[in-house]
Amino acid sequence: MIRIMLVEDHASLRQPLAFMLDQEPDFTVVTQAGTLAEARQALVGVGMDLAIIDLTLPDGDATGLIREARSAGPNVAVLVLTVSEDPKVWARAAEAGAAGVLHKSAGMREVVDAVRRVAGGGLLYSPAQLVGMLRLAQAEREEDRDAKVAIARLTPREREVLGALAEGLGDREIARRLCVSLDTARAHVSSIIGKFGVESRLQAILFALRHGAITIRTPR
Amino acid sequence: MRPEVLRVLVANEPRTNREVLTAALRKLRPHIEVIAAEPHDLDGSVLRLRPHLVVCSRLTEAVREHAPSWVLLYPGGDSLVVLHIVGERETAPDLDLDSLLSVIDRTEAFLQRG
Repeated sequence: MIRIMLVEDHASLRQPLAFMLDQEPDFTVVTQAGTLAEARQALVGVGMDLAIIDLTLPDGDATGLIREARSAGPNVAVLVLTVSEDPKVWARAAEAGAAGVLHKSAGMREVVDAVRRVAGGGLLYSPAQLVGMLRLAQAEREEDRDAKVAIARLTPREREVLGALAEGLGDREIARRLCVSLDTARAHVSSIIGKFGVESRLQAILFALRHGAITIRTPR
Repeated sequence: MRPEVLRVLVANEPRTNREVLTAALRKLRPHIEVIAAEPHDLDGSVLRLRPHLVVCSRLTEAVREHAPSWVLLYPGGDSLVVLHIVGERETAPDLDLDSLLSVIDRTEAFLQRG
């Protein structure tokens, strides 16, 4: 009997899916969770052979949960079910140890067949696909590392200027806020753009956002 | 005269959700008619099939005008479910299977009362 843990935040999918999986003669759903916190609690002491995980949960990204689920017992397999079409998301899931990633455009039979295949030790990807995804995950990690180095090279003043850029301030407003000349403000902006290796202030903002150097506050 | 069989149209996205829900409802309520439809054909399906209950991811005029009951799941990706059950409107952050079966049963009871 294949013991299944189901992690999916939408109850309107999770519960019918658990019900339908239980209809299969060789499956039993041993536990369900709708959040990361619930899933981590459910992992304690659960005996399972396979976890079906939705990566987008209300309390965070579940990529790390893939590793935790695989560590929960010997030979635990993970199948990811996701609406994401981002190859980087799939790559991260594969790197974390998911034996397969299925898009939620898959039909129900396809999901059931994937569960059986993955629980039996198989992968949903070809070797070439897996290598491609692992390379993509590695490239993303390297890009992230390079970005952190670039951000760390900013001076305190440049960080202030970056924050002002993220608020949508122009050069004159930045100069006024920092009590510096317009030329000095522009020089700081140019320096930021150069250090990030981008071509415009908009790209600098996007770069900083993507790598966590700034956050955009939504107006109340 | 034989009572009319409840007709449920399941046209939510994405496909996995739609097919799983359709299959589960057919198992749990074998006496009703459960039809899956592609979301892009929602209006056409409503006009053709005249379902008593529609489960969808976007609400259209056709659904509002022709379906006595409807369930709108997570419009725009929000954590929100809107239920319209024969004139009564409710909202909830999510919809579990028991609640959906209750919507079906209430709609069926309304249908049988004529």
